[in-house]
Amino acid sequence: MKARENPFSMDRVERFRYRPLDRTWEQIMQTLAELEYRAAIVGPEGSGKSTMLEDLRERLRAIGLHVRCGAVNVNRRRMAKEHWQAMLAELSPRDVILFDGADHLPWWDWMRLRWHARRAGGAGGLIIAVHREGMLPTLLKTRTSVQLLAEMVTELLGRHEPMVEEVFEKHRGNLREAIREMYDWMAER
Amino acid sequence: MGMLNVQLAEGKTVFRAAEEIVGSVAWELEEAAEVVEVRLAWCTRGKGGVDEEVVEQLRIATPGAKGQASFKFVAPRSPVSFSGKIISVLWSVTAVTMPKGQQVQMPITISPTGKEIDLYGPR
Repeated sequence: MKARENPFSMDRVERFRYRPLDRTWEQIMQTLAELEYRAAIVGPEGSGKSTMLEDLRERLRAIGLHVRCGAVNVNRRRMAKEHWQAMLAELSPRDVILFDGADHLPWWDWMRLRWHARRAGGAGGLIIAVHREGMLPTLLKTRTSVQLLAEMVTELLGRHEPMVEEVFEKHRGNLREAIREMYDWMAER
Repeated sequence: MGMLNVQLAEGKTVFRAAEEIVGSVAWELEEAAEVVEVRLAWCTRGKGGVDEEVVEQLRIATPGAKGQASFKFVAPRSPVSFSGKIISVLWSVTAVTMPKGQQVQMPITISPTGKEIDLYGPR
């Protein structure tokens, strides 16, 4: 199958938004306000942390906050100097930094990020996506389920696919990897 | 939503490098747009993230609520339209209204063979 026809192509997968399993978005935003917008989204690889950060960006803007973004990952633990400068320049009390992969930051960079966000004060804050708890108060823990994967696959494929359960187990709930395997499976057809 | 339409001259949708891509855009919107843009662009589809680039564009300032305009682009040499199992490169002419962001896309093919290069097709 050609890449452009593959139902599991990234452009199609990226249309899925984060689906909280046991709380509503209203409850999440309420908790976030109570935490003064200084919080962590915690979860394993492929559980929706980055997607949730993206979704939060729009919701924070909708309530009048200004959003700045940064990201690192296990392969790229440092951000370019210019990006740091742009992200931290003249932070106001209405700025919120969304930082994906903060647990990969070198210690000094993490301290700097926290310090700048705290200094901004007011309603502004820092929301991070990480694999482990303890860096900031936990807003929520992202998790996946075989039902969630099944829903996504059914929507993308237009029918139920029995191999979903096996793929979910194989990738230990990592939806990103599970979907990539489904892509390869379709590509060979 | 109103009407936004892209038409290519003689209905032609396949082009070779350096060939002219000629057409027209027409709009009849509920509210006057500030700008209508026509873009010649490519994007990727497949297993990895999406890459895209606008290689040429026509910006129509103060288009009002109703009107039409002609455009003429030149098909570049690369990247050519192709598809494999991992990635496809797709070309299009897209019209976009601003600030509403209403858009219409006309897929086209740019290729030296006159059709999309199929990396896994019959040889």
